[in-house]
Amino acid sequence: MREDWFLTSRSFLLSLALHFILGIVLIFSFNFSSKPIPQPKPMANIVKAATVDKKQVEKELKRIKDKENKKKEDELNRKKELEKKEAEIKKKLQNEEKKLKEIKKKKELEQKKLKDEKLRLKKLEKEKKELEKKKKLEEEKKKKEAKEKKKLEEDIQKKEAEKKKLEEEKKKAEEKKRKAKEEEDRKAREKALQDEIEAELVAEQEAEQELQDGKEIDRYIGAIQRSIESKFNQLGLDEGLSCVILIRMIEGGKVVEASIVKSSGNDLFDKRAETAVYSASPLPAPDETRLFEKMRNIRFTFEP
Amino acid sequence: MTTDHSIIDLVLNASLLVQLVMLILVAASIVSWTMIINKRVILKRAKNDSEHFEDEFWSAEDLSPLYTKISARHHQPSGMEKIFEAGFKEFARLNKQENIDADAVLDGSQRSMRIAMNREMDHLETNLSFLATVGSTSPYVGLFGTVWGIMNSFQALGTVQQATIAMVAPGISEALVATAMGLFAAIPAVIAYNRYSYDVERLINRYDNFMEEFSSILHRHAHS
Repeated sequence: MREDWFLTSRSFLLSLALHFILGIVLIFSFNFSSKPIPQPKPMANIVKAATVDKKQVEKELKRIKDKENKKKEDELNRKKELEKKEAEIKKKLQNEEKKLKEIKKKKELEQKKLKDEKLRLKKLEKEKKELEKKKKLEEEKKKKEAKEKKKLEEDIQKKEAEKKKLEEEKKKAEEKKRKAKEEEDRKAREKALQDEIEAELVAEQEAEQELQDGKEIDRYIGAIQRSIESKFNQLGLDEGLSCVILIRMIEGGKVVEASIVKSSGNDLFDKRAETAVYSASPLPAPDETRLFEKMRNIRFTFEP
Repeated sequence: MTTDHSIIDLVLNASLLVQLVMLILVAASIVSWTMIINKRVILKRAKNDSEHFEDEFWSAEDLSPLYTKISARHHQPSGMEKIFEAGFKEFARLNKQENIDADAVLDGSQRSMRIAMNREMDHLETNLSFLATVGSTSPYVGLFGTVWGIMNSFQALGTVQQATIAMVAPGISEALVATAMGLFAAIPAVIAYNRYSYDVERLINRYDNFMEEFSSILHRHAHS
């Protein structure tokens, strides 16, 4: 028996040693990760594809292209028109300037004439004076008598001259005033024109933005429709049903409320459509707040 | 040495149950190897002893000196020696008695020889059944560990939206270590079991033959 026990313990030790050696060999020679296998890149985005008729797509593409082309043409036409208008305005402005110049010229001419007249008047007066002197000299006798008359005459003349002068001054002031007013008018008109053009430009930009937004929103709605359709259970329902759903979302596309606005007539269909909307949450929604605000509440016709 | 996925890492990162399974398998492997070595020594010794004894037996002129020689040995007789000893002892004892039938003497010695052989058989066959058990069950135990590990790794996968092979692969590899261990324990055990049961059968055949031959000799003695 003792011999047996000895034999068994010896065998046990031998087997332990064997396992130990084997373990060490395995650990050192079986390094799995000595050559890391290049990991296949995880697919970044799994494409959620829906089968689409190619022809239809082409048709749609063509339609969009046509639309765009047409739009471009329209834009070009509009631009041309605007340019034309601008040219016209310029022409008008030039004309006005020309007119103004003419007026100035005329005014100058008038002034010259006035001066001439004054000179002539002075001369005349001088002559008259000389004549009077002569007369005085000649008619010393007559002087006393004439003096009164002369004085009167002189007075009248003086008064007249004064009056004339006053009138002239008045006229001048009026002219000046008129000119200033004209200038102001012109400026105001110009400014108004500029404003009008600017306003038109801004409006145009806004319209374009609106159009862009509409397109974007259409795209998002298409995506939403697709994602809802992918969740929709068509089993046991007739084809061709459709209902109008109102969806309220919060930022990030989470659906807060979905309600049937116009029923399809089939209660099951309505119920399932609603469920599909909820289970498709979060729906694809724009990150841009401006765009999102426009589609916070959307209403669309669901027809799978 | 990068131990990203070395065997040690795989074992240490496994879940508790899988580790337990691995421990059981390692223990089973160690014990079965102990028995393999043990049995091999025992069987070889028995074979050598029987050959040696057969030589001795057939070269002996008379059986009585052989018996005394064997009885005088201080260590316990084994195998064929034991059978011979038992048979001859019974034969001698019965032969000493007066008025006894020769057939009855032969019967008695044969019976005692059969008993001795059965005892030898029992001794030789001990622990062989353990090898058979290890050989047949340890693959299943290992498989159980693997299935459990894979279950866990798939459960972890359930919460992820995008499943890639890179996410399950480490768990599966970890779990598969258990199966590898099960196979590692089972294969030597099965081979050893088959081999040793064959060896034991041959030895027993040999004992049987020897018993028959010895009986015929005794028969001759009894009826002479």
